[in-house]
Amino acid sequence: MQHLEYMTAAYILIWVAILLYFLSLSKREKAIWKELRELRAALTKDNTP
Amino acid sequence: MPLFFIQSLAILQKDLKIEWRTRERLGAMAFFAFLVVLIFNFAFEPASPIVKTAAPGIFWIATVFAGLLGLSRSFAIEKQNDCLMGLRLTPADPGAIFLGKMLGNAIAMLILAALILPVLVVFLNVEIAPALPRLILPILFGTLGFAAVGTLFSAMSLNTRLREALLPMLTLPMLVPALLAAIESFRAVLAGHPLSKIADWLVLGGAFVALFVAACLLLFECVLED
Amino acid sequence: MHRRPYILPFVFGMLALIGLAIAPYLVFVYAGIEKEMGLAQKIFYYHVSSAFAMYIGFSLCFVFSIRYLWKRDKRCDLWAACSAEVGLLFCSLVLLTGPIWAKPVWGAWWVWDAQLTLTLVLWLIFVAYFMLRTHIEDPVQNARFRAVLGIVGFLNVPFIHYATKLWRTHHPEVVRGEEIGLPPDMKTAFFFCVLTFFMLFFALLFKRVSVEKARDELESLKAEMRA
Repeated sequence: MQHLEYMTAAYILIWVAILLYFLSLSKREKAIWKELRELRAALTKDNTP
Repeated sequence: MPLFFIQSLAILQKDLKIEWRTRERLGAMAFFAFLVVLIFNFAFEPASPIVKTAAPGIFWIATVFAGLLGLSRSFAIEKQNDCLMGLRLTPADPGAIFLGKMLGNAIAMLILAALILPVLVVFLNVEIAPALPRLILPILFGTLGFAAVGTLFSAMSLNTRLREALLPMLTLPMLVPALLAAIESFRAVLAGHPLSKIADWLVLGGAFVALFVAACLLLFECVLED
Repeated sequence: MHRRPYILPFVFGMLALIGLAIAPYLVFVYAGIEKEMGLAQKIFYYHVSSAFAMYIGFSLCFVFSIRYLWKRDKRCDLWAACSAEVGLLFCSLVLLTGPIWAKPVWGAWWVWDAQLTLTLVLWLIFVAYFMLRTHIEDPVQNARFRAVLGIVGFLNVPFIHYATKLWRTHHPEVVRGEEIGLPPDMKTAFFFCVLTFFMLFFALLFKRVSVEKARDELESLKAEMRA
């Protein structure tokens, strides 16, 4: 099992990086949608007195 | 002569006139380049053979960094009194404005290079005189490529925060092929090789200049518009 | 003003997920172990696949940048920026896994090999792209300048490639691992990984674009409220 540590390091790096990027995207998206919904709710409340 | 070139020559003439009357840009560039060469001397053991192999690199580093200093001024002078707006309002083609500006920068860089070469001879003890005629082509391609890329980005970094820092960050990575060609052909010429030996590098340098000048001529309109 | 159905991101995401589930089997079990490089050679499957994904990202950025300058369509700019960002992610992965491979095989973390240098320079160019993005306030000017940089940067690729190749021949001590003529088992695993990363790239890109679109909608809604 030559160079096992290098291989493991490389694969963990790739998987973690992609996962982190994906999670950060999801987090951002969720935050934006939440704000959008709140904003829309506030708008409709203003428009219908 | 086609109108396009008359326009760019007018821009060039204007820039040279400004430079001649103030003499501030080239003076600062030359002094800075001189300092770079001087500081590099301290990085090496005096009179060691490493200095001679590093000479082409030192020459180009001094030229490029001093050139960046000058480039950031190239469009900054147009910001005073809203001169850039005036330039935009002239019937001149944006490409012509680019060409004029670029030629002005290239001339400044060539003068700078001519000033650095003797400094290199004196301080680094490099024999340049026998290789001088063959050095013209590498220096010409290097400075033209630098001027093309640098002029485009100096116009782009004008309206940004951290203008001075952004210009080298944009210019230097883009310049890697031209710099490699310039340094390697400079080195080969100093080592006494004929031009035919560095034909590959010269072709690369020439193609870089041709493509970037063409691309900038086309794209400069998008940079100037408001 | 409703949440759009995400068919494309879903399909590509699922395909990428399936691919990512099968790829390790092909890489670690199915494909044989290279005799000289040992297990370090297995880095190659994901490393090169990332490089392909990076090129897709940067060339998409190039195409969308041209289209933006031509049509002045805001959506083109959005796509250009998103593909550049995902491309930069894969570019970083190439740069990080490259040294991990180089250390056991070539004995040094970094060798000034032509391909590695090219990737590094591309990385620098696209980092500058995002610097430009954060440091220009006017949004239209921002998009225009980035489009110019995206085009010029991509046009530079053949020059950097040629220059670094020419430069490398002056340093013959660097020997690049030969990848051509892979045995069939490795070839299968390799092509599968490339395909998987292709799906992964587009899944991430669609996701990134949908985030950006939602953000745009939010911004315009806010602007509307202020007005």
